[in-house]
Amino acid sequence: MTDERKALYWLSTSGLPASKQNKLLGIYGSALELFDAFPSEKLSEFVGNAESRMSKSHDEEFLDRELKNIAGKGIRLIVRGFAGYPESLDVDDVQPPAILYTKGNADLLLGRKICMVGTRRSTDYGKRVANEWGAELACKFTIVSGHATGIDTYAVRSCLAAGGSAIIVLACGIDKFALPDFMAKCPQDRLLLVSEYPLGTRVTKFAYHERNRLLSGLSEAVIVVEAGESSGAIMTADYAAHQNRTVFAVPGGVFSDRSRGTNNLIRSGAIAATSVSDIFEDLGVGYDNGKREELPDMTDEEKKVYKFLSEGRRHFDEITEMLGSAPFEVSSLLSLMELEGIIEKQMQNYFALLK
Amino acid sequence: MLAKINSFGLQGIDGYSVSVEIDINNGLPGMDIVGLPDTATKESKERVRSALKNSGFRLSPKRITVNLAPADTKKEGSCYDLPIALGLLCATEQISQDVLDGTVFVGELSLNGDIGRVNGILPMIIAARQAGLRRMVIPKANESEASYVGGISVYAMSSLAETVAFLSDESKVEPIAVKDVYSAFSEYPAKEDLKYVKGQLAARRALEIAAAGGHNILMIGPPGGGKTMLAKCLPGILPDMSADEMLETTKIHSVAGVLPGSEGIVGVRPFRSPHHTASRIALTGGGVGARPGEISLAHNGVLFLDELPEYSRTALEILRQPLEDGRVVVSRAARTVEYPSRFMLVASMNPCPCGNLGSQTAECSCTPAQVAKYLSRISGPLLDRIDIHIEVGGVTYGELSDKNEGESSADVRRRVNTARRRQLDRFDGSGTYCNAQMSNAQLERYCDIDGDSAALLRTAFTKLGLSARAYTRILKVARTVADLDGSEKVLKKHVAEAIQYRSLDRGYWQ
Repeated sequence: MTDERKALYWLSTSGLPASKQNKLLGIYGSALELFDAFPSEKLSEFVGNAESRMSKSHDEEFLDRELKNIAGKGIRLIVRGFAGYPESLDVDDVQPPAILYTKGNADLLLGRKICMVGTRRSTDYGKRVANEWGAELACKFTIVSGHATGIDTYAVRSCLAAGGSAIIVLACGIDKFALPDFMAKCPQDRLLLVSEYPLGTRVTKFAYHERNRLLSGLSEAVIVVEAGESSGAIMTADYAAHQNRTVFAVPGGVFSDRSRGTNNLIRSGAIAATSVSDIFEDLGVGYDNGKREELPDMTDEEKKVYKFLSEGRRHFDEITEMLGSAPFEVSSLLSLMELEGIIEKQMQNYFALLK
Repeated sequence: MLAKINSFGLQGIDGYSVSVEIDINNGLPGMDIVGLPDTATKESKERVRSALKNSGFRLSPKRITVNLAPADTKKEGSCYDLPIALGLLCATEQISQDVLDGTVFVGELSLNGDIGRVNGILPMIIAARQAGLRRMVIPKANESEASYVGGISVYAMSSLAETVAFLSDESKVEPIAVKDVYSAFSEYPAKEDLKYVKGQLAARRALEIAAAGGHNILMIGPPGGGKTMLAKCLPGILPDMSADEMLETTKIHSVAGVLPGSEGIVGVRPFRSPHHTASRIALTGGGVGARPGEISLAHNGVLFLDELPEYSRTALEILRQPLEDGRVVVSRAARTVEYPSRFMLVASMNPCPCGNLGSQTAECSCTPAQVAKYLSRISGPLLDRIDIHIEVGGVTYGELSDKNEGESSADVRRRVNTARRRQLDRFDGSGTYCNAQMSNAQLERYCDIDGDSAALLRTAFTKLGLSARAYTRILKVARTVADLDGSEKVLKKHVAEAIQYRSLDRGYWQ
């Protein structure tokens, strides 16, 4: 065996956690040394159950076949210590994986990245933050997030919809992930799937935990939108603090159990994020504010509604009361304004200005 | 000696002529009823025997054969008691065949000779009149529902003895006076009045449109948002029934035996709210006798399904055909019948399993997957058939000032009636009663929108993510909005308002 990359691939398919893999590499100096030393009594004690898998694939021809197979599937391996491996990950604090399985535009790994995560069971508030900020962040950052429903999905979806790009870090083998509709439909050069797990690996709870360190590791900052007291998003924030990343938390209501985690983060030193421009300022990014399109000509009534809504979103009844018109006139008016792209209808008959 | 008596039976909601033939022979004493009688009809012989004895008639110990012709149709119920008893009297020459000819007899007998009520009198009378018969004897208890059909003399009798006396001209009885259908009309005793509904302006308006155009409506909102309250207000704003509608609905209720006793006719639109455990059969109708179900009882009225996703999938899916065709075909081994079921579907549901999605005051604890699963319980094809989706809830009472005291149901009802009359005039003679029932041809003819409105609709589809199925729904609702506005043409503002009522089609739900 002469190729370090092949040896690292062999190690990555062992199923050992990254921390153990890195320890082995530390002891032996390189994957090649390890490959050549295998099998040995000392090793088998260390790797335990993984030994059978390691000996099964301890065959150069077999590895060649597998690598060819993977390349055939359009999956690109990015190997630590070789070109393309993201610098931010290549730090011992992160426990970097030896191999990154990627699909999509791998150049995204080299740009500026920010991580946005949160609970699966988001409230309307969290959903709104993820949707609006995801879109706003898109112009400067690639968004790094997971593939869970809730905040993660909202952030990625809104970012892609706004023309940005996203990196999804998976907790399973890259072939085990079915692209949701909105990802499948977006241009594939704006999307990158990343996983540290060999093909065919199914999701486990532990994998989610382990994956979280990559979310923060890949990014220069982490934004936690909404999270309960103990959740994956909080774990990601902890990893981020440990890895010296900036942690932003979106403050929420004190009675909301979905904001308890984020509020705790702020108490323990995270930056309270109140707008995207704040985040840009903290990260030293120029924010070209207000390229808002010219508003279409509005009638007097429409102007009244516009002014009313600029103070915040309002219920249908409140707008009707403010205008003093009959409900059917208001219905018609709001429809027209919505179709002109001035306002949007939200759930439960609330209306808000379109950002 | 042979006797032959006219009677009527029920096939679906229509009466059909049954001829009761009785022959008496020598042989072992006994009575046989042939012509596919069900158990209640078979047991008729015991009731008839006792009724005759206790009314003071004699019955000789002979072999009696009763045939209910046509013999190949199943006969149900106890309505043949009276004709069988009279036939026996005729066959034994206690009354003459002449007085029985040309008269229809229907009624159940009790052992002491009293005549009891039967179901479906109204369709039977209508069928008898169509068959050219001039005289009919019915139970006294059914008198009220018989009083709305003219062209035939109907006599209400309370006992067998009275009937015989009447037939042999010993006593004089006046036929039931014919009443005008509209005399039965009454204000609906609505349990709730719209004036007690605070706020909810959008939902009130949607309800008004639904009532005016007969549109199916789905209300979505958190628990305690007032969905059920609004639904209960609906009967109070529904338009008056036309005479045809009243008779159609009464026929069904008569067959099902659920007519209100006092007026004998359904003068207000029925409001049926079956519980969500209701079975398929309970909704469509069926059972051994293929009885009408809830959807038929709601004919020309309202079928209210509270908590729509809680109904079983099968129960909901069977609503599709009736919603489309306005009738339901119930097939059983014994018979296949068709019941009209042109109802207005009013349904309510929560936005998610916990009910708090989108709420300002409470937090939703559902995952997006749970919400999607909950919504998917209502199939697309069923949603297709619901014209108006409206969200209820949002603002709490205290946030609104008192000057928003709502309009009363009576005021709304006046507008609804005016709008409905416009529709009746427009569709006169086409069998369509309201905008919701418009066919595609009618839609094209009456919902002709100008280029401006068409452009607006196109924008709505691309911008709001409306599904294609929303198109005809929006046009129909826009037609009703125009009718409420007193406008001959559907204008841009009408279309714009109609677009508001497609909540579930919008992207933000996903």
